[in-house]
Amino acid sequence: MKQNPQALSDPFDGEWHRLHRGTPYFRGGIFVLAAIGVLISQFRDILIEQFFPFNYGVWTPSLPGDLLLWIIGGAVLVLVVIMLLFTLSWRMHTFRITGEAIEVRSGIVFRSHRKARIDRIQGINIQRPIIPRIFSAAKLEISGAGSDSSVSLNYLSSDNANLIRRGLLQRASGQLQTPEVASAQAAGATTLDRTVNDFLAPELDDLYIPQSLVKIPIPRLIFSALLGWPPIILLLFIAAVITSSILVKDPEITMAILFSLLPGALAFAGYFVSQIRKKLRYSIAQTPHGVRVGYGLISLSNDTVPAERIHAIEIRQPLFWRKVGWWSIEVNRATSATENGAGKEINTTILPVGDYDDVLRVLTILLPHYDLGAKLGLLKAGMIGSGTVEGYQVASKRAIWYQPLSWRRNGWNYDNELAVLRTGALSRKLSLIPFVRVQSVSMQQGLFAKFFDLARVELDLVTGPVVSSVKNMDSALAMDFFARAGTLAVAAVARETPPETQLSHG
Amino acid sequence: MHNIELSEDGWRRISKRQVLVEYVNSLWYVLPMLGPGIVLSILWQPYGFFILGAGVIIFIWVLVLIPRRVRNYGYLLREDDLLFRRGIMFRRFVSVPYGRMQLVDITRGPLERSQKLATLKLVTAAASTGVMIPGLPIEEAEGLRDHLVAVAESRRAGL
Repeated sequence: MKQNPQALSDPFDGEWHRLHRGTPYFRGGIFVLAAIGVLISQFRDILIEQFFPFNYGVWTPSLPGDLLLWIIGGAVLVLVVIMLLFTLSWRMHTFRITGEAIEVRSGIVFRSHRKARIDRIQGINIQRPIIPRIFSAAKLEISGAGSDSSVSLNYLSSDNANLIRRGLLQRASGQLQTPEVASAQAAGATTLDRTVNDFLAPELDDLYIPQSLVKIPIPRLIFSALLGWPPIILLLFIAAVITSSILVKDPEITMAILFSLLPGALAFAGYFVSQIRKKLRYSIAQTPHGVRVGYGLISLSNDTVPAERIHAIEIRQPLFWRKVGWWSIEVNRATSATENGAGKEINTTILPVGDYDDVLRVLTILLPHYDLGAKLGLLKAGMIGSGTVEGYQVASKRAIWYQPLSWRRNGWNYDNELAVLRTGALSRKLSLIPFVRVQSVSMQQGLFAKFFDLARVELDLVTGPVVSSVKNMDSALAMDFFARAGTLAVAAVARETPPETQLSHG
Repeated sequence: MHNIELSEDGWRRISKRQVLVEYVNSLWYVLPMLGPGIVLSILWQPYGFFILGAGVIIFIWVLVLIPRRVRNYGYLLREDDLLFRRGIMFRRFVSVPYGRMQLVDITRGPLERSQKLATLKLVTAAASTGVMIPGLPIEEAEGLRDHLVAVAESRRAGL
């Protein structure tokens, strides 16, 4: 171990490295802005009076000049101390990448040393908030399985973030050659050019310039957000207000009602904008090391997940999307780790909105080893069909009391690799669950289910949004599915690549 | 009306001493009901008889149900997976491939210790697996744990 961390020339040389030089400013910048904001809001009146000290035409300076100086001086001092602390914390924050692990040491008073195994990486996320982006810096978050298992490197230069992501994903998939450092740095270009290019680049990668498989037109994005429950509830609400104001015929009460609606409407507008903003400039692409999903207009985020780390896939169609034929895709991943709330959405949504062809294109990269072409009928029957077509089996008719609409729709199907679960008559869902990712299989029968001769089978998966159980199966069929799913899960595990290649070694 | 059942024989059952443990545990919810129930049934005539009746039914229910529930716990070590079953009214079967086990936990409360019993908990990466085998004699629990860890190691798989 070398005590003096190196400037970052080759991140894979096994030495301790520091993060981007601008880190204290990016992290402390928020405090500076907040401090300025507090100062302005607290002393607004005083400042105004200071510079325009005419109160009813009389010169009345409210503060002695030197007191103001003290206040400003004090604020500057606090800021300097904060920046010093951040700089110190940056000096103490080092990382290194060895053959098997990535290690991070941080903390001034309470030192922490986190070591994460590279072969356990569940995905890598690069985020580029606007300010660091201007200075060609990025956040790198390496997620492991479990809740508090991610390793963050905030901030790295864009080149290094890119290089480290590629190198780690390569090592995680068992290819041990170190990526070429030189290739990442575009030869000959001036610094300014590179900065501009870097700022404009939607993706942070130059070796694999991924072509997005799906493009979401802006109108589709907006309409997809409008065609949901919140806008419709809002419309109903507005309609109720209008009718009531017509009935009451008192302009004052009407105005009062309208004003009382205002906060709700503003909250809704905020929600709506955030829904769309997160999905702007969406891209999804296949890279040699996994599926890459990128989002964001001003602050960018992009997530690379090896296809083997996707535990289950769900194709959804909310009720109001049926007419336009749109779908979204969610996945289960073994990690729930994201640093900030904005990343939450990105974590499980692979396709925010798309048509049938988009769904097929995304599925081909989510299930790269699966012959989807041969299963199109099955897929279509699963997405929009109902009843026992294409080998689907459906919930028992005795369940009609539990699910009057969906008993013919709720069904299951499987082959040696994939279980396909179909649910929802109004809002449709189709889960695709590779047996190789199933952790256990369970079957349950409650008290009433026994009288109706029904049972329920669940494929136990890592936590996530995907529906992984079939309810109200005929109990004989349930027992059969339970037995077969268990056998297939065992067989799939045995078939999976041997541990030497590390990839299966979640 | 059919119970779900598997065509497997040779289920290993848990110790009958677990019945005692569960009786004592049931006091946690029986006792708090007992006091107010008695007071109410004496003071609040004539409806008190109904409360008394309901109390007696619950009491008998617990008395009868617990031994049956304990009898219905079971596990089976198959070639590639562990089968677990439990419940009479709410039946549940779970199959856990050995390679999927993340850890095996043995816990012993004071009551269980007095009966020389232990609870074995099996954890996979899925929260919904939920396999907990109570009432295992301590030697059996430890033997089972060591066996499970050994087979899990030999069939280790990813998540």
